[in-house]
Amino acid sequence: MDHKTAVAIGCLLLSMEVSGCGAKSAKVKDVRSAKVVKPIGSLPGESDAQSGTRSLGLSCGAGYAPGRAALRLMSHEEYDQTVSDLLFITDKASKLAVFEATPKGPSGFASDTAHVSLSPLTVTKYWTAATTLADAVIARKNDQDAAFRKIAPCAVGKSEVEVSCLESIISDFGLRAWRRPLTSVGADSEKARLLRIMQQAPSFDQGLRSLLVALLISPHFIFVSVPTEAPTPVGEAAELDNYQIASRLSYFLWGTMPDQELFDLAAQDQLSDEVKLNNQVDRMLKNDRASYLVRTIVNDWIGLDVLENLVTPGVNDALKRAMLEESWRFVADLVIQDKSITDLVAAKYTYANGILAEHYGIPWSESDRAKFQLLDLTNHSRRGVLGHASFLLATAGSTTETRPVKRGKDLALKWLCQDIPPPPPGIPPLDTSKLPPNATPRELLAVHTNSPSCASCHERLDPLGLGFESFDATGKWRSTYTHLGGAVIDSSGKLDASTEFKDTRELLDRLSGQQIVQSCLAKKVMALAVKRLPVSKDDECVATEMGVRKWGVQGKFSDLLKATVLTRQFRWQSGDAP
Amino acid sequence: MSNFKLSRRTFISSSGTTFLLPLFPSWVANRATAQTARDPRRFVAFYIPNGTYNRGDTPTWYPATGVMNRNNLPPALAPFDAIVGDFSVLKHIKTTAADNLANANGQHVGEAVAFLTCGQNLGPQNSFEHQYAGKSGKAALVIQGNTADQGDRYQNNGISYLNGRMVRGISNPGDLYRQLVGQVAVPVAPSPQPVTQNLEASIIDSSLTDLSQLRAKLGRSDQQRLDDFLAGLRELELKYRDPGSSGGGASSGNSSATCRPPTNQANLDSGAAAGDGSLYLARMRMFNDLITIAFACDLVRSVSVMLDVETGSRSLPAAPRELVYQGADIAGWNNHLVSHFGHFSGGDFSHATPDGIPRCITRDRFYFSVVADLIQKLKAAKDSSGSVILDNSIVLAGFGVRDGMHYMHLSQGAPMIVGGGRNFMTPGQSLDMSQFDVADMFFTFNKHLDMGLSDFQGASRFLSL
Repeated sequence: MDHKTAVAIGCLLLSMEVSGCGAKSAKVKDVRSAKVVKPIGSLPGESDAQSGTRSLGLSCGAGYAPGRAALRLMSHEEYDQTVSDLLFITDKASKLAVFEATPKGPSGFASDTAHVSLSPLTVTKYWTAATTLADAVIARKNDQDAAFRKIAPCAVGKSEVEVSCLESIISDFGLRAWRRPLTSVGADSEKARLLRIMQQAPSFDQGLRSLLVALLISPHFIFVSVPTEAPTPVGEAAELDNYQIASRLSYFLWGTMPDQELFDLAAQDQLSDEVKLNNQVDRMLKNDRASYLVRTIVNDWIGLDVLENLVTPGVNDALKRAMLEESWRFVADLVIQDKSITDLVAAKYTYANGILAEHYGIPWSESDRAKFQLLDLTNHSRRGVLGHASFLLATAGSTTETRPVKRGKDLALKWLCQDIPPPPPGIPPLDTSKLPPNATPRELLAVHTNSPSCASCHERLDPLGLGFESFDATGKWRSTYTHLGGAVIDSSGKLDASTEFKDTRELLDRLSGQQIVQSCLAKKVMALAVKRLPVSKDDECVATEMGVRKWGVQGKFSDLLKATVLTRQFRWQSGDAP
Repeated sequence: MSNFKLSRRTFISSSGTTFLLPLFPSWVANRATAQTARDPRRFVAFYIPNGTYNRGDTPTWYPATGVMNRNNLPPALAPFDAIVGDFSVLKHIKTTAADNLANANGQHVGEAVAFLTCGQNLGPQNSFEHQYAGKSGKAALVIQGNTADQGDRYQNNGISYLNGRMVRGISNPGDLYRQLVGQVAVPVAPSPQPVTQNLEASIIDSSLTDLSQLRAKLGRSDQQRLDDFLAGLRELELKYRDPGSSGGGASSGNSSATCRPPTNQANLDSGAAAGDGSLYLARMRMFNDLITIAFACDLVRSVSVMLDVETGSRSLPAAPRELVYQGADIAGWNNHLVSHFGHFSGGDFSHATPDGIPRCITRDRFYFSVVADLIQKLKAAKDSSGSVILDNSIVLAGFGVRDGMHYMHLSQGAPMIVGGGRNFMTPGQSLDMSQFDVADMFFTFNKHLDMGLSDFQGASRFLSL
């Protein structure tokens, strides 16, 4: 692929198409339904028309709790994209202010930020970003296609700006910035305060700048899932209003603020309608902003962001690029072609070029070794991303030799959703004195399972990791340990009491059929949607029902997304007010 | 970014199996936390002599590989308890150069020479901090912790080398104070214009009102998060109501150190004080204050600190109570002997005293408390851009001798601490570096410091730190 084509393709996935950009702001009717609050125990069962689960046909019973929608900060990517869409500019805001990196949350996603603490220094950085961006909007006001013209159309070319124009700007831009209509009743309403700030400035430009800063530094902008009604008590659950649904939907599928169509639907309460909600999922998946899903799956879920700086013997730049491109193409294909999410673990195909095929030991007939094409893996031992060299490199545990416990832990956490606690402190070293000098990893790890204090975790981890030992640290297939005198690799094991596998290929073939894996796939999608780790028994029930009963290997990716947004987890929240 | 747009569906159907890809650099840009071009990067190296307890088969020193937290820090690293997220431990890293030096297999002399040079012979190369100083255009600062006993049993008992000669560092912080006073003018921060200041204050007022109204609608755990935000807004509010109230003196432990004139401590300002063991920690902390100012004022970007010299027969002072491990204080103990776990008789290293290892841990904590002190001060200090100085700095601390008992069969070097650098590294990890050499580590630092070296003593592997 030449550079120009690559740029074009890259722009396609990353282009910031802003629908409604430059269009006249529709008059938004501030029609918002009153919040529905019910005791969790009395929430409708699945036969009730208002259940929100009727169309899903889940068997989780009545009264299951939706879980809390905690106040959370936007991740850096979300902040960057939101600011870009809001202000119609492309300055990377999080780089302007030099934000600290946000670590991934308990769910494994960077957008799971409820755990991220907010230091005074971070607040200063938000301030820096807000003032810098506001200054940039004002400084470029005379540019063609300037953000200024879209934010303040009624002020363009005016030497004096009327109060009605200020109010219109505050309403329209405020709605977009805070992702909901601003309060307008009373002298201390949000609109009134912001109008006072604008009128305090000596010029319209200064006033607009002040408005932008005030909106961007407000918690209503910086935090997502901000409630607007009274707190919901513990033991009760509240239905999210349409604007909150719109935000949740856009940050789920696009990693950014809602667009004008979502705002319009929210204003008319249309997002309470399940059909319209699902139609929006279809629409949003066709938008280029859905590349956010691809990035999130590749970087956070599969975990390939760790490869950025990884230097591995035997993996040169061209091979590393090919490894990464394989996974990106695969996931992009899954999203765009709306394939089943179980392809992530079960697919008997992939995309590779000659460099990668050679690494895999697969014959390559094309003269162009750099060209990617679809490869049929039916007769090979790789399945889904678990067979991708990129994944195997990222989970190897070391750059020269595999660490089965590390790989086993990654597999258990991300693909079986098993909670593996960290090792307790003060563990004495294992007694390996009776082992031969060239003991294989299986022989070394057997010491774990023979130790009662280690067995509870390692009985789960070690079989998974050892089951992948046929892949070396670079993802190449092997049958012996060359560094251990040619010892034959034994990759057999058990997934559970009733599921044995004789080698790596059989393990990979069995994984996708496991209920725990299917449930985990649905759980990860739920985690991405609600931005938290689904840990309650109610979350477990919903995820298992969706992953196992409804959307096994047959289901399309969009079907799972549509089902997720219809769940109570997505559309309601449990209270935590005392 | 190109304005090229194309319908995704059209593209897919017309091109067969060609699919859509993002540009490689864009992926990582989403994860990168970039430093603004104007913030300089700094390097500090601390050297602890005589080795530590590093038995490979009983690694009680090491935190488990992975993310560190207060619960899994080993006792030697207790001084870092409050900053566990600000440093990483590099375990089992090789020290090939030191091992290959003549008369240096795990013993003292070559280790000090090799620490910052990774040199292959006793004719030293320019040590790393001088190499970086040369690239940055600002002279390196070389500090010497101990003067009472130079331990000149060996000629090259130092870590800093420039143009083929060992550089003995300054040991009196008063001397450094005098160097800095003439170079640091009292900054005159431009006061915001009154109109602008009032506008900013109004904006913050409005945001505070938003906060208080929002807080009433939240449950307890969300209220706590909002309180963190409130604390930050209050600090901003102070700045715009009273511009002079932001920042603080260099010697203040809690406020940001800006580029302000340094302060001296008369009781530490003498050659006698430099040789007084009881003043050691106070003296080193004053050095840390001055290093912080020198960084904030961009007078220096590269520092090496030899906390003590190799071998010697001086006595250590008492350690502060909170640093004493299992009652094994170091007061009056011979520095060299402590690293041999308490026993040294006629060249026989083979037997340690029963409390020899706890005493060695106390000694490690004693020195590490100096490193932790600097990390905390750099964390509280800011560049003019507002970026935390620690986030733009690399703070290295390590040992020379691999193991205090000179166990030759150890294949790994003593652990290295790498602090700071959050804008380009990921601190807070315990990393297995058994496949790498310290020369690779310095090559990696060279990349982060934009030194432009194609290799460091032949090493060119980049470590993910």
